[in-house]
Amino acid sequence: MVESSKSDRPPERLLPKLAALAVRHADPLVAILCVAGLVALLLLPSLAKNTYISENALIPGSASPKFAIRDAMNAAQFARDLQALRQNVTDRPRVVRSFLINHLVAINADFYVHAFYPPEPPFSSLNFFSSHPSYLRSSVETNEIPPENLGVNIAGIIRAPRGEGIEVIVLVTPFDAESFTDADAVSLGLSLSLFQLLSKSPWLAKDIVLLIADSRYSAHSAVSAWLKEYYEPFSFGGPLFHGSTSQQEFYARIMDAPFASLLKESTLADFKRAGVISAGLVFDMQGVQGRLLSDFLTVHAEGPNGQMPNLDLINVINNLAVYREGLQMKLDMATNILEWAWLGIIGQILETLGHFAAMINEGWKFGSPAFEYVQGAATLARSVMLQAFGVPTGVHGAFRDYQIDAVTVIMTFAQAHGGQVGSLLKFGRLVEGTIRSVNNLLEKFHQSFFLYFLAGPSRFVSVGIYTIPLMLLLVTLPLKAAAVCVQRTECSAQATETSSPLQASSIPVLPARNFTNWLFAVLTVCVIELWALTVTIFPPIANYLADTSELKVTVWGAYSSLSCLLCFMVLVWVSKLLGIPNSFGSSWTSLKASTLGLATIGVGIMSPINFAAALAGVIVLVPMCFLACPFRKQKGMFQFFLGLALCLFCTLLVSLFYTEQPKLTLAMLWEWVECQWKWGSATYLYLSLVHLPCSVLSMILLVCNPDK
Amino acid sequence: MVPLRLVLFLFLVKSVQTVCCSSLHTNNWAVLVCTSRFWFNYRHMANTLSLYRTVKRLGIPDNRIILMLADDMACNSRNSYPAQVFNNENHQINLYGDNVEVDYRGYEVTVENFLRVLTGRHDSAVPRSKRLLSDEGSHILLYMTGHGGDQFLKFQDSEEIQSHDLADAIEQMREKKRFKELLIMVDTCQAATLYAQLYSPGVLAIGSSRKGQNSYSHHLDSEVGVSVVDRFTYYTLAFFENLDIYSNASLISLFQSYNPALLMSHADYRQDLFPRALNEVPVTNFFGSVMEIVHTDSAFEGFKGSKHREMACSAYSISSKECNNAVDTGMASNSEKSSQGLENVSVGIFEWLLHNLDDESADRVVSIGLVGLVAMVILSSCL
Repeated sequence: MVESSKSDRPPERLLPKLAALAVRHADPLVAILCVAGLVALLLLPSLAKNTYISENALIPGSASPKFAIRDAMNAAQFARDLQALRQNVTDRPRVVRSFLINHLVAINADFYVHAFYPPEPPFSSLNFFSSHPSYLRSSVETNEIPPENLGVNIAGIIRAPRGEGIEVIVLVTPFDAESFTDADAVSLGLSLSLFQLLSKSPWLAKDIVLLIADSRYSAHSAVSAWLKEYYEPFSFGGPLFHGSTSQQEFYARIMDAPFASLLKESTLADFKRAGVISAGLVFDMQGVQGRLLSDFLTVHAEGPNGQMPNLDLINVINNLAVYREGLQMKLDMATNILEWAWLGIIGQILETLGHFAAMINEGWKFGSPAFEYVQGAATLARSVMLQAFGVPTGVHGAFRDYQIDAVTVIMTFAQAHGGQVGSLLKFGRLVEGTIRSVNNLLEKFHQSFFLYFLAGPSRFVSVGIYTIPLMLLLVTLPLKAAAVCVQRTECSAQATETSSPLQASSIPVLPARNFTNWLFAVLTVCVIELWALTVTIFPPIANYLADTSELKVTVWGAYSSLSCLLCFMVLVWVSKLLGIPNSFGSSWTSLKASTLGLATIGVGIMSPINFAAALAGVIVLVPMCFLACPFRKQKGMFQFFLGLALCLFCTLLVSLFYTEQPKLTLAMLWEWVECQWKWGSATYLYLSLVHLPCSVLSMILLVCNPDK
Repeated sequence: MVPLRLVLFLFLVKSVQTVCCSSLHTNNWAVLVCTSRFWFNYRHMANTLSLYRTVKRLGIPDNRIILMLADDMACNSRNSYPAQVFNNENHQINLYGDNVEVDYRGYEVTVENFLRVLTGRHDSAVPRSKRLLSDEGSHILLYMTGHGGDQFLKFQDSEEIQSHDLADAIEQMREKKRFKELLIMVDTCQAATLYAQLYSPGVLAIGSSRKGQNSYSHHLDSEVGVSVVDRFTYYTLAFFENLDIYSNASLISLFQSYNPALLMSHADYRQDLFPRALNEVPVTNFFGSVMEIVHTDSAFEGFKGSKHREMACSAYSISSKECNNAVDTGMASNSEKSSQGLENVSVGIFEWLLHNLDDESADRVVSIGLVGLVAMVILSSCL
C-alpha cells in the first residue's frame, strides 16, 4: 500500500516545492520582504554613486574656451539694446523681431521665421495619448485667428564649415517679445553673442541652430511646434498660408518692411533644416536682486513620463560648471524633508554603521556623513517625485518626444551688483564648452544611463539599484494573493471534512460555490475597473459642463460617487441573479486576492513606463491592499486602523515630497488634472486605473459582512 | 662543353652557399601603424606621424616605410588647424606636411591588411608602394599604437589582433626570410602582453606598459581640444630628438631612458629572442637606415662589403677572363651573391680546377666520376 501511494505521487520538483513553502509561510515572508523593501528604499541615498563621464568622445573642458570678455560685453550690449526696445509700447514684438533679424543678418547666418498656431485649450480633444500638444487648425482656414495671434519663432542656423551637415545641436532661448524681463533680455543677449562666436568657430562638426522660441503661449508649445515642423513637416496637413500674397501680408504685419522684402527671395519663410538633432540645450537666465555668494545654475532634465536625458549630458554640464567655471550646480530639493528628525536619525545610524564597518574592514566605505545622507534623500525624493508626476519640468520635454537628449539650464546671477559681465562670461563659457563637448560626439548619447535618479549634482542612483525596493515590495502582492487563495481552499476543504459524511451530496456543491465566488470577485473587479475608466475620461465633460475649476471638480466628484454607487447596486443585483446570498461577504477572500492581483498587474505595467510613479505608488498600495479586511471579522477593526494609519502616513510621505504649500484646494487638484491631461502623463492613468479601483475595492472589503 | 662546365660551377657555388649561414644587413624598413579611429584618438595618429618623421629624418626613405593611419585627423571637421597635425601644444612641427605618404588610410587599416603587409601575401593588384618588400637582410621596425588590452590590440572600432596572430605572422615572415632582425614597438595599454607570445628568433620587442598597466597620454592641447601625444612615444621622440644619423647610441640606452615616474607605467622589453647584445646595437639599426657603403673603382665591380667578398670577386674575375667571357650576367650575379663567404681553400680548389681543366679533360673527369659512382653503388649494394 505504502509503495503504491508513493508511486502514484508525481515526482516532486524543487520549484513548486519552494513555491508551496513560500505560500505556506506567506505572512512572515511578506513582513520580511516589506521591511526589506522599506530598508532598501531608505538606503537609496547612501547607495548613490558618484557620476562619471562615460563617453570617451566628450572630453569636456579639454579645449580652452574662446568666449572672452569682449563677447560677454557684446552680450551685455545686446541685452541693453533689447531693454531699450521695451520703451516702444505700441508695436513691441515687431520692433524686437526686426532687431533680432538685423543681428542674424549681421552674423551672416541662415535664418528664418517660423509661424505656428496657438495651442489648443486643454480638454478640447481626446488625443490623450499623443504626447505633442495639439494646435488649433481648423479655425485658420476660416481666418478666425488673426495673424497677430500666431506664435513666431525665429531660428538661425550656422552651417559647420567643414562638417558633414548631418547633425545639429539646438540652442533654445525662450523669449516673449510682448513682455520680457531684464533677465530674459540678458539671456537672449547671451545667446546672440554665443551665436556670433560660434559662427566664427573653426571646430564645428555639427551645425548649430539657435531657436528663439516665442514663449507667448508657453515656451514648450513653441519648441514643440518647431520640432514637429522639423521632423514631421506634413503632419500639419498643409502650409500655413495659401498663396504668397497672404504670406507676404502676414510678414509685413509682423515685422518691418526691409526684412519683409527678403521674402521675395523666399528665404525668410522657408523652413530650413540641418540634419538630425543630436542634443538640445535650453538656457534661461534668472536675475536675483541682492547679493549672491556665487552665481549658480539649476539643471532640469525630467521629460514626459519620467524620461531622462542621458546622464552624460548632465555630467558634462556639471563638470564644466564646477571644475572649470567655478559655478555651483544645484538641483531641486524637497526642502521640507531636510528638517525631518527621523531621517536625520537614520542618517546618524548609517554613519555609525559605516564607522563600524570601516573598523572591521578598511575596504567597506558606505557610511556617508548624516547631513550628506539627508541632503541626498531630499534631492532623491524630489527627483523621484518629478519623474513620478510624468510632466516635463521644462522646454526640454519637447525634445524628449523625439528621443533627443536635452536639458534646461537656468542660470541665476546677481543682477544688482554690476557683476553681470563676469556672470555672462562664466555662463557663456559654460554653454560654449558644453557645445564643444557635444560637438566631439560621434554617435548618439548612449554610453551612460538613461534610467536613473539624481541624488545630487554629481551623485546618482542607477536602475540596477533602485529596482530592488520596488521588486521587494511588489513580490509581496502576488505572494499574499496566493496565500489568501490557499487559505480559502483549505478552509472549504476543512468545512467539507467537518460536515457529516451523510451529506455526501454537498461535496460537489462546494467547488461550484467556490467557482461562483471567484466569478463574482472577478466580475466585481471588472465592473469597478470599467467605472474607473469612465471616471478617467470624465474631465473633458466636466470641463464642458462647469465654469470654475472648483465646480468642475465637484461635478467630477459627484459623477464618480454616483456612478460608483450605481456600480455597487448593479453588482448586488447580479449577485441576486446568480443566487448568491451575502455575495461580498462570502467571496471576500477571492475579492481580496483579485484586488492584490489587480494591484500587481497595474504596478508591473507601470514600472517600465514610469518607474518613479510605480515606486511611489507601490508604497501606498502595499499596506492598503494587505490590511484591507472586513470590519466585522476578528481583528478587522485593528487591521483597519493600522491600514488607515499606514495609508495616511504613506500619502503624507508622497504628498510632502511634492507640495511646497501644505494646503490643497480643489482648484489645485483641477489644475493638476489639466496639467496631467495636457502632457499625456501615464501617471494620471495609473492613479485612476490602478489606485482608484484598488482603494474602492479595499473599501468594499472593509464594509462587507463575512460568513461566519 | 660549356654547359657541363656551368653545371659543375653551379654545383660548387651551391655547396659554398650552404656553408655561409646568415646574410648581412641589407636594408631598413619601417611599418608604422595607428589603429584607432575617432577624433578623441588624435594622439595615436600624432604618435605614428611623429615616429614617421623621426625614422625618415634618420634615413629610411619613404618607399621603405609602410604608414597605416586608421583615421584622418588632419581633415576632421573638429580640427581647429585644418590639414595640420601636431604632437605638441607649442605647434612647432606640423607632422602632416607636404611629403607624407600614407600607404593605408582609413578603413583600409584592418587586421587582414596588416597581416598581409607583414607576410607579403597580397593580391596581385596591390601596388609595390603598399608592400613590405623586405628581404632576409632587412631590419624592420614595427611600431603600433592604439587601444589595447591583455593580449590584443584593437583595430578601428570593430576588430582586434591577438598576440598569437601577431606571433604567427612574424614566424611566417621569418620562414619566408622577410627579415633579419625585427623590432616591435608598441604604445598601448598592457603593451607587454601583445608580444608575449612571440617565438621567432631575431625579434626584439618593447612596449609602453606591463600587464595590468595603462599607458597614458602626455599632454592636452587646449587649442586643438584633445590630447596630442602619448607619454611613451613622447619620451621616445625626446630621445631621438638629440640624435642624428651618425649617432652611436645603443638600443639599451633608449630602453633605459624611460622613466616609470614620467611614463606612469613601466616600459617593458623582451630580448630573449634577439641574438645580439643590446648595448652593441645602435638605434639607427632600426630607427634609421645606415648602410655600410664602400666606394668602388668602377660601376660594374659589384659589391665590396668585406675582404672575403673582395677576394671572391677577384677570383671570379680572373676565372671569367680565362673562360673566354662565356659567362652570362645571371650567372655572374649568382656568383657575386653566393661567393661572399667563400673560404680560401675552396677558392684554391676552384682556381686550380678552372686553370687545369680543358674541355676534353673535363669530360674525362666527369665520365670517370660517373663510372666510379656506378662502381661505388654496385659495391655498396653487394656489401
